[in-house]
Amino acid sequence: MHNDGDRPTRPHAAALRLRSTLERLAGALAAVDLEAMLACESELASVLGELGDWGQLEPDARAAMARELQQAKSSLIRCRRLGATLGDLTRLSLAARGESLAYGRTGETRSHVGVHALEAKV
Amino acid sequence: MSGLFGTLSAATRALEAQRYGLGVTGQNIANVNTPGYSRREAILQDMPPNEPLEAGAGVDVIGVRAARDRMLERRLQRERPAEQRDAAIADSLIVVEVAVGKPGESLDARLSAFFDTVSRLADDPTSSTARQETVRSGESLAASFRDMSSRLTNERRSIDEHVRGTIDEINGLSTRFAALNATLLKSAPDGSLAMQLRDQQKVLLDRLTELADIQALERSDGGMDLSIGTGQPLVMGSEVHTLVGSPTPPEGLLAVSTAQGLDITRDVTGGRLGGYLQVRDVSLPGYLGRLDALAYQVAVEFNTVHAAGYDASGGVGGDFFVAPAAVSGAAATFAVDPGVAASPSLIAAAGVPASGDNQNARALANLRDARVMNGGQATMVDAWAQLVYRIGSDAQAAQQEQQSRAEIVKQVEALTDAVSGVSLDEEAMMMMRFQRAYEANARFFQTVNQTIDSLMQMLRL
Repeated sequence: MHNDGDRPTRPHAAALRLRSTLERLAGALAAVDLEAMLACESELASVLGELGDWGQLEPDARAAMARELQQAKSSLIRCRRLGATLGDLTRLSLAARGESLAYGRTGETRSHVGVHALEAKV
Repeated sequence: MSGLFGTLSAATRALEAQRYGLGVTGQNIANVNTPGYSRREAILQDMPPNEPLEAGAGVDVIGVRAARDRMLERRLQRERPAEQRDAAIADSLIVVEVAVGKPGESLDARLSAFFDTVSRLADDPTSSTARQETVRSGESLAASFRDMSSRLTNERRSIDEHVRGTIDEINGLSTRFAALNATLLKSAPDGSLAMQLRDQQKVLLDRLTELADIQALERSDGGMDLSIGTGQPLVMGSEVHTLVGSPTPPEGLLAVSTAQGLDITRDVTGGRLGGYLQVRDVSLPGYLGRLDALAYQVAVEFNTVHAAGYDASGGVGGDFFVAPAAVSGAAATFAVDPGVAASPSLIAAAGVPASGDNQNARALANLRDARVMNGGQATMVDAWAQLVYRIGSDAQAAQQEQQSRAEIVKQVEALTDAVSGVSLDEEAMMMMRFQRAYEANARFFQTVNQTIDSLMQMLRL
């Protein structure tokens, strides 16, 4: 149970949400969970708007906010590292199949399939 | 071969092909829990028509190949040495962290206790009990320095044993790997025996990449060559180039060298071996260096002030601690001057040659708060706390790095599992779907990063 004194301030709550969203995204990337990855997109967009609302902060709130921001920063680095690995693997795997990760004018993926023999995967 | 006969022949070939595919599936299911087993694929190919107006001659099996995605494997082979290196560093440093003790309960407590007795001597400079206490406390501090130096040195030796064990394991695995290469050379390149042998090699290679930075290169004869460090040969076909661990002076720690005698200790940076070498040759000597610097400074500063005073019989003060010959080794040889230890009346507590004066004892006690370490930035106790903090933060950093790399290894494995068992087209689509879902999030990263930075700046972090 939180009393009023324990309740996080608005910027602190936004920082907390940012941190937890980035952690969820890193978790989804590590587990290669597509649904969870997609769910993080709208969450990130909305939390970014809230972070701009920044007023005076009490010393306690500043310390709590600082902790959340440090952790958010670490989670962002984690996301970037996992994302880079995913990107590498996608590019390499597609290249090996004669395809490339390129986008057409309408956003469709252009792929060039260069496999001639039929490979029945079992 | 047109007409009904041709059609029946094509249908028979198709049935044979499908039966073969089912056999391969059975093999995959039977080996689902076999370590290193790679899913097999039956490769079917449509047969060209025998005559121009025919639709085709059906389908035929042209071979079976391991479905292992070599790129994923290579990625794993790159991540594993780095992950295991950090794991070895973290494991070793956690032991060092325990050995040096917690702040306030280790050498710093002895330093504080020593200065407490010097303060009591300043309160009662003629007391023989206070003089004896100061000598005892000085000896206790000296023992603490020697003990700490010995713990760090022993830790280096203990890690050296791990180095020896790892070299032996690498040699054993390499020998088995080379033997598999020799058998592969004699077996049919795409036969099922060759695939089994390659699976066994994969298990060995996985373990080898945990132990050191091993690079694998496929040979035209179907085998694989292995090299270590910056490309030193380890396995060339059926030939093994064993590693040698030879003791080197002055401490007798092992140097890693090739059978030809080339020292590659500095070239091995990955895997558990790389981690052990990093802690043994870089981290621990660094900590020992800081401990020696502290011991040297304590002895020199205390002796300098002590020499400016006078002992109980009015004689000029000598050294309280044995003067260290050099910074290096100062902690291991730290001791109270034997003359002072035998005769505490030689402690120079007085600032003038008169019995009962305490000026010099006060000056000695004041050294507790003097910023004499790190170029005038820290007290002696601060310097010890910084060393303990450094060891702790190094261990924590290695742990975090290891966790992060372990997560990447898991991600690659999860990705492999997620896309396997589907058709190649579907596999490519799934990879792109994952990538797009990531990119949808990643477009916010720059803004998130800038926002965090500016908020941190506002908080002056």
